[in-house]
Amino acid sequence: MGTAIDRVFIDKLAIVLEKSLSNSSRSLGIVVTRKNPSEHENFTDVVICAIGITGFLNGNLTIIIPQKTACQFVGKMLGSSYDQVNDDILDGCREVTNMIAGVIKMEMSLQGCDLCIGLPTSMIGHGLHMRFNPADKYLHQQYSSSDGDLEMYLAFKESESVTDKNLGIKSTVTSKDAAASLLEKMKKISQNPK
Amino acid sequence: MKKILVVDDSSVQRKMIIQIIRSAGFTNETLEAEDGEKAIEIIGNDFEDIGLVLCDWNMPNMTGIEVVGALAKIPPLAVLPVVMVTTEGTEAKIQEAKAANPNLAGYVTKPFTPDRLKAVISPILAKVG
Repeated sequence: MGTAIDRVFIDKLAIVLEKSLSNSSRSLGIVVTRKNPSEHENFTDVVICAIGITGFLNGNLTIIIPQKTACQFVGKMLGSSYDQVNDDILDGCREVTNMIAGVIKMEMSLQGCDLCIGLPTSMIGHGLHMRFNPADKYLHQQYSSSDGDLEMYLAFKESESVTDKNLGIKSTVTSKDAAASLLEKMKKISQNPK
Repeated sequence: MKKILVVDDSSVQRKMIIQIIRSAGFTNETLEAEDGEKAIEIIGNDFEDIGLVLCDWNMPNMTGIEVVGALAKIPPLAVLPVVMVTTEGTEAKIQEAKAANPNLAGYVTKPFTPDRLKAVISPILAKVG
């Protein structure tokens, strides 16, 4: 039986997302805590890392880290001190993104949902913000740590192959059914005009 | 004392792994490769002195699975201890790696703790010197 991308699935995915960050950061000696969205402040100077996801879901994982926090994180990873973003910081942030995506992949495979992850990409800039098509599904989580805050987005849609084949999800109303239903309604209205 | 080859396209990850090796008390010389092609080149030039290869899976040019598969096909190198260190942690991928190289000495999934990596490499290094 396939897995439906419904509210229950999305709630599970949110837990997987949280677990993936928690596991990855803990292995680096960093403790993160989920923040209430109302406590969130927009970041200004940031490192953004994104990695593509395909397979059961199509989309991407994006992590936004203030540059100062990124320096702290990678500094901890390497036992060094950094005061500005350089290649090591970007490489370290990409690696963390890759690890988080790897945990998501592993956790989802345990639920029968196979994913492939792409190559992580990093960007730096001032005043960058994530925007998604409101029609698309995405999860947005914010975290705090002793080294600063970060936020994570997982944007996704069902892959067509999943919908058509793996999940066995088919529309319960065909166009023929819809037409018949419409005709029935029209017939009733014409028999009982207002 | 045998050398340790660390293969990963992330320089930060290579540095982290080397730090863990040092913190575990091993003073073996370390070599670094940023992809599979470079790893093959280093192994080809230095195979008699390399005692352990720590290899990522997803890398540009030549992946880790291609590296371990290639080593398995060459009798003198088939016994070279190789530990995969990768985000590819699904059972299917672990089995794929073992199929590519039946002598695979270990499999460490990222993210890993320093203790986890030490637990895998310590007995290997104790044996190869």
